[in-house]
Amino acid sequence: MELTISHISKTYKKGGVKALDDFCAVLTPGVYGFLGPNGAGKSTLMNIITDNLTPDIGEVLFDGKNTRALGKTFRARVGYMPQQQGLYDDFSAVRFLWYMAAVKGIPRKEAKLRIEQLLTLVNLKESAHKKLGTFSGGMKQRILIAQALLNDPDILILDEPTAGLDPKERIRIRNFISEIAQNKIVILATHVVSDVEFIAKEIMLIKKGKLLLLDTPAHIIDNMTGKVFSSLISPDELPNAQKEYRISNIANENDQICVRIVSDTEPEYTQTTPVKPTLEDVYLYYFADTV
Amino acid sequence: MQFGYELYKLATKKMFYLFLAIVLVGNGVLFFTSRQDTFLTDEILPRYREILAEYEGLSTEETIDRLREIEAKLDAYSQILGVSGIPDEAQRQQQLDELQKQFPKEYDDYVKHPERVKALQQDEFVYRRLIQEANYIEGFDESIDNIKAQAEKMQQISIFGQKGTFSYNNIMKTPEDFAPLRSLPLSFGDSTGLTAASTFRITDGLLLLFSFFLCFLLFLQEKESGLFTLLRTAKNGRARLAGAKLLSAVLIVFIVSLICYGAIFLSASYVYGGFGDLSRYVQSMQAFSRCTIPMTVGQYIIVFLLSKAAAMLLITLLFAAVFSLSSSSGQAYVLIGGVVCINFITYLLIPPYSYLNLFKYMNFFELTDTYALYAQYQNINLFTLPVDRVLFSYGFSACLAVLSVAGIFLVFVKGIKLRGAAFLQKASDRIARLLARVRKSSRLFSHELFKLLIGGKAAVLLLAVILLTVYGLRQTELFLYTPEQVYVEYANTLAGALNDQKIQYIQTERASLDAIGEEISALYEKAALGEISSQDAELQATLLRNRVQEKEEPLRVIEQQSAYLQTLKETRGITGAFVNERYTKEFFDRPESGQVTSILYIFLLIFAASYLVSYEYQTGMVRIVTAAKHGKRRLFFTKYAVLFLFAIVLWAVLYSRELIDMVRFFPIGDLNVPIQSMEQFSEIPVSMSIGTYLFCLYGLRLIGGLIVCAFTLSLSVFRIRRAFLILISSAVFLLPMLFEMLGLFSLLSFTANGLFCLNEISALPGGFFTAVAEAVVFALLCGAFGLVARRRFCNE
Repeated sequence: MELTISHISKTYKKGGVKALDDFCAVLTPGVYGFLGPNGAGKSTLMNIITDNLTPDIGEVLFDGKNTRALGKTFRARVGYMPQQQGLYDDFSAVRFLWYMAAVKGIPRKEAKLRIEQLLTLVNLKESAHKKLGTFSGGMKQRILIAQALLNDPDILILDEPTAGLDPKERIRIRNFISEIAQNKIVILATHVVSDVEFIAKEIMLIKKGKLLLLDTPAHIIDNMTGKVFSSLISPDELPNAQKEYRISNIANENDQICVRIVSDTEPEYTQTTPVKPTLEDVYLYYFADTV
Repeated sequence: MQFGYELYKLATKKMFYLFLAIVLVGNGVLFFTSRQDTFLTDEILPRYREILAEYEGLSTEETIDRLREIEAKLDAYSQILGVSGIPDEAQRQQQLDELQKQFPKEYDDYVKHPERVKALQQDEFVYRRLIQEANYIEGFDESIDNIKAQAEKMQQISIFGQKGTFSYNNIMKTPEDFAPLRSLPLSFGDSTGLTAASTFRITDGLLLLFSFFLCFLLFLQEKESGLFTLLRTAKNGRARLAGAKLLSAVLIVFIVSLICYGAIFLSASYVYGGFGDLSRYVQSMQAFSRCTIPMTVGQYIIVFLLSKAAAMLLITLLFAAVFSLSSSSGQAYVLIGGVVCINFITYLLIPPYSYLNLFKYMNFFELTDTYALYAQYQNINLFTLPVDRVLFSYGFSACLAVLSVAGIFLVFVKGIKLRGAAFLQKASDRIARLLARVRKSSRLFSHELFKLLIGGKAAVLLLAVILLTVYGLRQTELFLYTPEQVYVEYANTLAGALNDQKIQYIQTERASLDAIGEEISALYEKAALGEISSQDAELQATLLRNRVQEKEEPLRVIEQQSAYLQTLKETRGITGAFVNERYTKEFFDRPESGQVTSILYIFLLIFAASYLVSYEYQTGMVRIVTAAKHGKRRLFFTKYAVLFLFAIVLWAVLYSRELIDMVRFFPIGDLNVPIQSMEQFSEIPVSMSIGTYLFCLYGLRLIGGLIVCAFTLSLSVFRIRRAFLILISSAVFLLPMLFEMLGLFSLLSFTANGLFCLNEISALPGGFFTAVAEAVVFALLCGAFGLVARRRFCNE
């Protein structure tokens, strides 16, 4: 199974914004972390993959076939959970899932089974008959995850799936995604790097519509070796340090401040030691100017 | 300041304006279109107003004197006419002689000035009504004395004479309550306008709905959105907030109530020619004979308006209290629904004098029946003590108001919730679970239907329309003047296809009517020869002249119909039939009624259609659903199908009223006869039966409805905000209809009006085909638009 994103470009007429610029990627089963700041083009790409938007140039291929040409055959294998999603306030959770099952063309018996399983999975069995309008933000996230998984999709696109969830829920969802990703292509867009750091097969870094990197987390982090430092500075030096370097962490240590600096060159502080980079450091390294 | 913000919150809600517009406009429109009088039809009303105007400025005594004269005349005419039924000539003569002595002037009129008799007899119905009022005024004091006498009599009966019982106490109290009315200076005046305004209850229903919606916005919406907790933590977020909300609700409901009820009074005044002398006591009118509060008409109007507004305020406070105490709309609906049901049952089932009548009068339906409150004397059984209903209602309302306000403040200040809220929540959940059982469907259609009915509130609209239709059904027979009755007899005799026999019959009737002149001459000759007395001759001559006058107009109409049908046959080869034009006009020639229904139909469809796709964009769900297997074409067409189904059901409900009324009260007869039998439809080029025409009439309306749905739904795909969507669709379909109805200018061509106004457009040359062509053109255009919309929705 292979999803090929082939030379996708998209410019929005309004404002002339180039959302995607010759984006290419080949995705196989596994979890792909999709990292990038707001406005990088993540949502645009997801909308193109789910056939909600038409690219100006390029195409998306599934097993070599154009997804737009495949039409509902392709859409039957897609599960999508967008970010910042409204819901049908008058629908109960169970009705909503039944509705999504109908839209996804899932047969009744199968739908019944899946709905029960998913409600348990996302811990919404107790609230199944309550209206979505009464749900908290976290509950809404969970029901959206449930609907994305309803048709047991081969391609799962999740935009900020853990936003609003408590750490326990976050871990549960992350582990679940990891479990099911063995035979699925999972695209997980997130700002929470810990969501993808341990489960992603590969990370895609996207900036201003362009793919910066597509590599395994280990490689990406390895490439950052020698670019992340820990320095002890005085409080007076902090403002300067913030101006001059990308700082990923500031911690008070007795009378001094321990700063974690991401820089191509070693900072000129006396008490500076290189440290093992993390994915957060990577994020800061590439996107500090857009933060 | 906070009060201002609460008003501002409402001002930002488009639904608030929509509701307000529906209440204000619907109130007036429904008064004019749902008015049903057995007596004061549109034909009689102008003459009724003229006659009433003749007595303006006269004193009661003068008015009554004049009416007595007229009554005497009418009675005399009636007796004189009755003589013709005596078979024996000698007896007839004898009777005539006596009547001539008894009523010389009237006899003279009858014989020599039959036109005066005719004029008076035509207005007999109006005069009899006014004479009734005059009789009532003259007998008023006596009626008060009778109450006392009746009470004394009833005390002798054992079941009423038992001291300490409610019956006994009530009997003792009643004469005392009426006693102050004795010798009240009464003035003549008709009560029709006043009672019509006082008994129009549709406004109550509209304002109830408005109040419900207003309280939902002010007191529950913030709870559901989670803002309530935030507001309560602020410094002024408790008592002050409660006060601001209450004040907003009270002010708006008070003003809107006064406007609505005031508008009804103004409308009634316009329709019925005013309310007469406002300084006269209401007890001057028979409709208020049981009112024990001596107040003038002007005072009554003010008291009525204020009482209605107060009743609405009380209901608003109750709704506000329920919404404040409830933590979800489900709880509130269960509670309010339960209260309304209980109210309705007690209102309906408990007899007025039952020992349980306390519960009958402690409910919404009684509190809003302000006319009955003042005009119908009633004592409430309060533990065997008879308490005046007005006093009881005021007291009960005051207590309820205080409790409601206290409840609201307790909620806001102390955060108190409804006791038994858990029970209500369980009930609400149980109902939800029950309904959920039927929702396990994998059919897209059922879910989209649910979305429209529940999310889009189409179910509520449908329910309201059903209630409106049932309420609007005609309850009384069609009122026919004497000439109309004669015409109907002719029409029934001649019903069916025109043939030689019917032509012959008409000619015979004409001949016999024309021959009456000779008959009258013959009578005079006989009188001259002494074969009959001159009085007998005069009487019979007058009777004959009366017959001419009665039959002339109807026969002329029949002759016109016959001539038209003959021309129809000769020029177009269509064998028309005699139809009852009085009935057919009632059905086919009332454009305002059909247009009001069509306007309502169009508006409701636009409202429903604007929801189904807009909501997907509003919530962002469109991204998810269109990414699913059936989320493009199938979903798109399913939405159309759901909307079309709604359009069909709504069409059936809304337009059924006129058909039911027609079948019950003015059946148009054989539906197989050609529609061209009615001259109104002479321009229809194709020969078709009335049945086929009706099929076209309702079929085009349905097609029009489907076109409205298709257009609005297609437009909504272009991500236009719902409010603008409604505006655009209204501009295309609703506004031209409004212009048509208001007579501003006719847009029967170039707009979709022809689809809803077939009766009017068919009267124009080429009108019928224009309507059909409009249907085709609009259908094609909407179809093309739909294709474009589909491509956009499906991202093709």
